[in-house]
Parts: sequence; C-alpha cells; structure tokens
Amino acid sequence: MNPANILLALQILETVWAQAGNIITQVKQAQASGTDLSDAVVGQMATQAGVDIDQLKSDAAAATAAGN
Amino acid sequence: MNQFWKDHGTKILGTVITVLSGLAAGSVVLPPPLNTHAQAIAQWAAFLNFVLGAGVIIRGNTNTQAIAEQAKSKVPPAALVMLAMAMLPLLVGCGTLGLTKPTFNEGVYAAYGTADTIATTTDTLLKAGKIKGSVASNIATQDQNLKTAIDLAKSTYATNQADGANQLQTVTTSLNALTTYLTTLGAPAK
Repeated sequence: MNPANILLALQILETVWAQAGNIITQVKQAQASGTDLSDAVVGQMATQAGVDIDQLKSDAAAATAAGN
Repeated sequence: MNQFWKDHGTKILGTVITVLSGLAAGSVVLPPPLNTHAQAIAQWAAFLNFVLGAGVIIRGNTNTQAIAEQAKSKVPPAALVMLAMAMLPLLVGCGTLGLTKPTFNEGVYAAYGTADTIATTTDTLLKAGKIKGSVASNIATQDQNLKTAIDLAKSTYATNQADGANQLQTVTTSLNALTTYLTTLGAPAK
C-alpha cells in the first residue's frame, strides 16, 4: 500500500474526526445546559462552511487554470 | 500469520478505527447511558489511530519528496478515502437510523459541518493531485447549493416547522449522496 495514500487517508480522517469532535462537543454542551444549540453557534458553522467552500472554489479554479 | 498482517493489517486497523469513530459520532444521538461511552470509544479510536500512524512512520517512507511524488501516483484513492470518509454520513444520518431524534438546530449544525467537511476534504484531495480541478469545482458547486438549501430549510423552519424539517431531511440525504460520490472517486486524476 502506498505510504503517501495512507498519509492522505489519515489526513482526511483527522479532518473528519476533528469535525465530528466539534459537533459532539457543541451538542453535548447544549444538552448539558438543557437548551437547544444557539443560532449563534449554528451561524458560526454556516460561516465556516461558506469560507471553506469559497476556498475550494478558488483552489479548483486555480488548478483548472494551471491545466490540472 | 505474519504475512497476513503485513497484507491486511492496515486495512483491519483502519476499519476498526473507522467503526469506532462512527460509534463516537453516533453517540451524540444515543440516549443515556449509552452516550456516556463516547469518551472511551474516542480514546480507543485515538489509540488505534496512533498505532496505525506509528506503523506508517516506522515502515513507511519518511522522505517527504518521495511521498510528494507518490501522492501524485495513479493509485485510485477510492478505498482509502472511503475508509476515512465512512463516518461522515453518520454525522448527519443518525437521526434517520431511529436511534433518537436530534433537535432541528442540531441537525442544521451537523449538516453545515458535513458541508464544511466535504469542502475541506475535496480541497485536500485536490492539493494532493488526486482529483482534477474540474471535479473539485463540480463538487464545490454542489456543496454550495446544498449549503444554500440548508439556509432555506432554516428559514422555512422559522415559519413552518414541519416543512423546514422535511427540507433539512432532503438536504441531509443529498449531503450523504455527495459524500458517497466523493468516496467513490476511483478514476485516476492525472
């Protein structure tokens, strides 16, 4: 098995794991306080998703322009 | 026996890690006292992840230039990416498994989180040379549309909770479909 692919898979796993941990933390905090997740917390994730999607668009456009 | 572990050890460890990670993510929506096992599950996953990572460091190629070149090889990334991404649907799908029903805001939060993870994972694959710019652009467009759909579901929920919840469920299904598409990108990029 290609070591580079293993490292890539681990890198992706780390990203997914971090996101899952973030969601678990936020939800558990809300449940512990007996309240629903606040709109502010949800809004922060929405903003982050928008930023990362824009970054992906930019990188994809650059890769396409470079012939990749 | 040793040959067996040489051939399949990484796959087995990776699968166990993925299953444990999925259980940890799923524990968010499990009722007490089951959800209290999340920390122990996460610790086991982290430990096994360390074992797998250590194995790569010990047995793998530590020459960064060589790794960079190998990253551009034509090996289909589908299997490995699928391994790492297998837990993603669990982030948004547990509510549909009948385990328990998360609140609407929790579902929205997980949906945004999944859209974000799809974007960052796709960017990682793009930068590693595993997918073409056009493919990444296509995924970005779909991801953006789904994020907009989450926004709309959230707005709808404010005036009609049933319709908003249904819309979020539809978006969740679409996010899972996009995740599946991402994990099945088997064609060599270059």
